[in-house]
Amino acid sequence: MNADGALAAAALACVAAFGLVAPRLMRATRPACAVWLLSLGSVASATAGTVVLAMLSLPVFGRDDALMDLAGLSPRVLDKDTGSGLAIAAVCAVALTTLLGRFLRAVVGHRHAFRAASQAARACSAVRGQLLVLPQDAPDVYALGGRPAVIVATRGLLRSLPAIERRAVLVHEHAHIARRHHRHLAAATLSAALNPLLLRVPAASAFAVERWADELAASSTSRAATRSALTRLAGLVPAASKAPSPAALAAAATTSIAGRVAALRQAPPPLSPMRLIFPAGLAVGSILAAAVLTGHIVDLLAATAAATGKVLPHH
Amino acid sequence: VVERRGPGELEAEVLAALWSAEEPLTPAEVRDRLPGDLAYTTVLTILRRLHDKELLTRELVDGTRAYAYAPVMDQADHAAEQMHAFLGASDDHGAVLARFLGRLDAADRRKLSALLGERRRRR
Repeated sequence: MNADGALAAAALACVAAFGLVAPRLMRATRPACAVWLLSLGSVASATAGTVVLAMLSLPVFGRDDALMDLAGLSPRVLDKDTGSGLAIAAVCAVALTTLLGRFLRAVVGHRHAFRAASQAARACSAVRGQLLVLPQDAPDVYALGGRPAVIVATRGLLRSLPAIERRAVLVHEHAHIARRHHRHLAAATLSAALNPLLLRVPAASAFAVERWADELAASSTSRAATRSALTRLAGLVPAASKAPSPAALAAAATTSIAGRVAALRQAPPPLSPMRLIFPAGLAVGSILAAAVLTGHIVDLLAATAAATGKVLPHH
Repeated sequence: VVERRGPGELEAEVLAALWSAEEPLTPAEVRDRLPGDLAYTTVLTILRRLHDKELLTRELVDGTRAYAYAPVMDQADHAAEQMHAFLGASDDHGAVLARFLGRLDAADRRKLSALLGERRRRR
């Protein structure tokens, strides 16, 4: 295995380990830290995974010795005389194309949803603040992270809560908007679209985001009031069946209310920075390996292009 | 530790309090429906601001010089239509949206009721 092959393997190992470890971050630290680490880590992992896949696909674009050598994880497997190296490269190229397609569709979907939310908020001439109340009796409340961002609540919801719980709900939704939680959710889902090893990250991120907002609601009211608002609304809102499926956190059907209530029955979790070192290290490791590999690929492509005279030499 | 809350948040809370009431409310009544102890003048300022934004209507209470405030309804009806159209049209890409309750599936519901049952037994 050559040095680049070892780097690629190390990067993939980091990505895979991050995908496994990340969903357990919530048990280790504060929700806000978990959210940030999940976002940055999944972006780093997705980037690293894509670079490695691109590197392995290179021989498809030319049976150049240097390219084959770069992609050669193992000289035995990727023996260019037997053509098996090319077969592996072809498989990687197909996988890369598929994942990039998935990623682009997800990006388009997100942009579409963001625009739709912004349009809806602007179309409501009543939005001249951050709260939009709908005159409906069915209790419901959500935050739209468009521009302008807005909290939507029904009259039924506001009437069914005591004042302190009303505040808990409003602070919770305001936290989603003020801390730009929709960006974190987008980072997690887009990264997972690009790298299947991050399959479980979006649900973890969605749960961490709700816990973060719950903690802010609790600090503005009390843990008991926030808990009570959650359990009261869990009984009032027939949720999944009735929700007009903005699929709020569609990726996260597991946004467990029970888990949130249980967490609010305990003291706020400690920061525990020591427990963040391992997952953070994995993210940093994968991105560093990917950066070095990218440098090598760029150098090599430039050299190859210069050698075959496709690029005019610099003056 | 109570976080400092912005003017936008206070406006939202006052608006929510008015919506939770059946009748128009005077500033004193609004203050009674808010948690904590906001200054009367603060509540009054917020009510005036919301009125300036045409989110509230107001009328003099008989025999006094105090106004009673109520949310503007027809705008809300329009907003409801817009929002309904939006929610109906949106698909499953909604990382844009975050519900207070997310989605509650059957397993979660069971866990939650088990949790609540356990708490009742403890009492």
